[in-house]
Amino acid sequence: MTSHDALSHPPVHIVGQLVDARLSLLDRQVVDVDGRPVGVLDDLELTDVASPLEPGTPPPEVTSLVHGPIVLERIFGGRRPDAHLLRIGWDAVAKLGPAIELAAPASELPTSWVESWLRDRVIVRIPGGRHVPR
Amino acid sequence: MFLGDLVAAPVLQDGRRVGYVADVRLLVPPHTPGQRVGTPRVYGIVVCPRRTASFVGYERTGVREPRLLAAFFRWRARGSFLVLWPDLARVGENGVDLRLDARRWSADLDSRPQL
Amino acid sequence: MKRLFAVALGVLTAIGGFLDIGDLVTNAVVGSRFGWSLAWVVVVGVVGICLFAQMAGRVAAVSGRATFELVRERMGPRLGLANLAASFLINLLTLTAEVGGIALALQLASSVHYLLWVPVAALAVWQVIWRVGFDVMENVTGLVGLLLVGFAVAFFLLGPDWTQLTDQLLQRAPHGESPATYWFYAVALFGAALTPYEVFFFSSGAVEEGWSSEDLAQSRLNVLVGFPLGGLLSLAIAGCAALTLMPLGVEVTTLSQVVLPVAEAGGRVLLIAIILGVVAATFGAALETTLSTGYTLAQFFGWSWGKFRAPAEAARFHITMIVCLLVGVAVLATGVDPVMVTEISVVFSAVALPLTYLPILIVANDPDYLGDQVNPRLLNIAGQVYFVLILVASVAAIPLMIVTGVGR
Repeated sequence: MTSHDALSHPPVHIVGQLVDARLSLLDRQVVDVDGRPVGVLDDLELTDVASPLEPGTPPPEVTSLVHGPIVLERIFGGRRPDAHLLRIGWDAVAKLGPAIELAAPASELPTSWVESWLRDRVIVRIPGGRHVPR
Repeated sequence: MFLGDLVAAPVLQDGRRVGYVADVRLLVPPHTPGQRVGTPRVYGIVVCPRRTASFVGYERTGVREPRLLAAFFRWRARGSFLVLWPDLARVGENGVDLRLDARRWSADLDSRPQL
Repeated sequence: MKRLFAVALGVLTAIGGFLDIGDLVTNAVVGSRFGWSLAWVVVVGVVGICLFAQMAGRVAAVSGRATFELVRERMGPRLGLANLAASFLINLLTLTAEVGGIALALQLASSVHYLLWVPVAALAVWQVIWRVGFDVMENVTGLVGLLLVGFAVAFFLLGPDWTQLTDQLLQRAPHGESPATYWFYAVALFGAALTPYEVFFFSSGAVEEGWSSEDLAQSRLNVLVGFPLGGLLSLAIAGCAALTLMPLGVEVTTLSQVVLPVAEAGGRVLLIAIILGVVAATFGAALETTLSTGYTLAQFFGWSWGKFRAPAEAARFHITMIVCLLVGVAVLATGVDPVMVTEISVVFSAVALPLTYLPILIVANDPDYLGDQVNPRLLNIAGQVYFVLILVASVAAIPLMIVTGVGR
């Protein structure tokens, strides 16, 4: 045991699993029910809490997964208008692991307009664009 | 509120900076009606004295390999601790305030029994 | 029988797939100037790529996560983006060099100026990515690339002077170059053997082909047998240059000089075989680098990717690759020497190595990803030794490049 391990563990009995958000959730791939990439988890939205916190305030809960073109804001600062965020409710999550697996197909989830635009305006107009390479 | 706003935010206690939020620990309950994975709630925050020190989590997990890298990253994140949610006095975009009597717990993830 | 065939095919394509324009040019240049004095770097480099390719492949097979997904996840957005910027630019540079290499090889075969071949080569690369399945693509380019075995044939036909080569190998022969130049080429060879696109491609390929834990043995065999055999071919290329060009004081600056010893040793038939092999190897590598530009961007940003999907199901992935090919063609159209582009790309590869190989080493130990398939201890010791080597090469690359004026 090194000196910085000298702190003890909280004497609380927990029911469930402890997950460090940044270590095991943020920046992992989000995939749909068929394993298709939906995005990379950029953030988690939490329920709001009052400030300052009165003793006994229940902890905030995760409401949704947030992804979309906001990685640059995470790196360079600033904030994208709320409407640009792509949100997926936590109730759609099917499994946590090396990727965050969703219970829904990608077609039922919010998608990037860039992907749809490029697909509809460019890719499908090139011969062979709809065929799986064989 | 976004969880990402908390990550790397300064942590203050009695007006003094004691570190930065290295991570937000969530408790995922085994069951929430109608869901496959229970709705996580904030369990506490992991505080590291240095802003950029904890990025691969060796100080919290049971992983000890590869030896030298693990030892190096554990050393970089030395002095990290966990503060439970009830010990937080204020959570905002400018940082997190700890209560004056906030307890510091081990930031270790693995060695406690999970039910 | 079918199983044996699959094993053989995997190994053979790994040999053909190991060599690209960077290896061809750098080994010939080094051979013509240093003989086998730098052969040890090829050995060190091959062991390194075996270690890390095998780890990246195992992570991809067990967890389904390709290397650049790990880069983002482990390094976080900030360092991840720095790595993306570096890797992407190097990929683009390598892609340009490979397309230039195809064009130069076709010029050798046809006497038509290579600049006319550049758009043809780029179009062909894109069509294969657009229409041809992953397996077929890998197997055809890998197997035709095996014609590069002709370098080994030529090497033996030239009647190698083993005492001289051994002296060079054991650093007993003066090569008349400065230590800075010697070490510059050591870093370049190291970078050429460990080019990051190889692991991006290898791990993404594991996902493309739907590998699981059961395919690990095959994957390990491909890497551990195929890559070293590819490394032997690298030594043969350097040896050919050492035997024919070094005594004449000719330094390799063009692709035709790379294949010159083959013509001298084996005549027209062997020359044709080698040129075909060079076309296939550079074509295969052009495919791999083009795909890698798509893989890295898509995996960092979480776009849908993969050749196992129709292009319409992975629009941004395919647009990225088309744009990158166009950029490569535009760069070559300026008349810049593709061999020069190649030399610069392998040096910058060396610079970017640590950012790619650190997350692989870390995740290969993470039971959350790999369960009980994490690295054994011996592999970790080797991995860490290599990580130090990679760091040293990365730090030394740019200063050496400046001091030596790109090895001139």
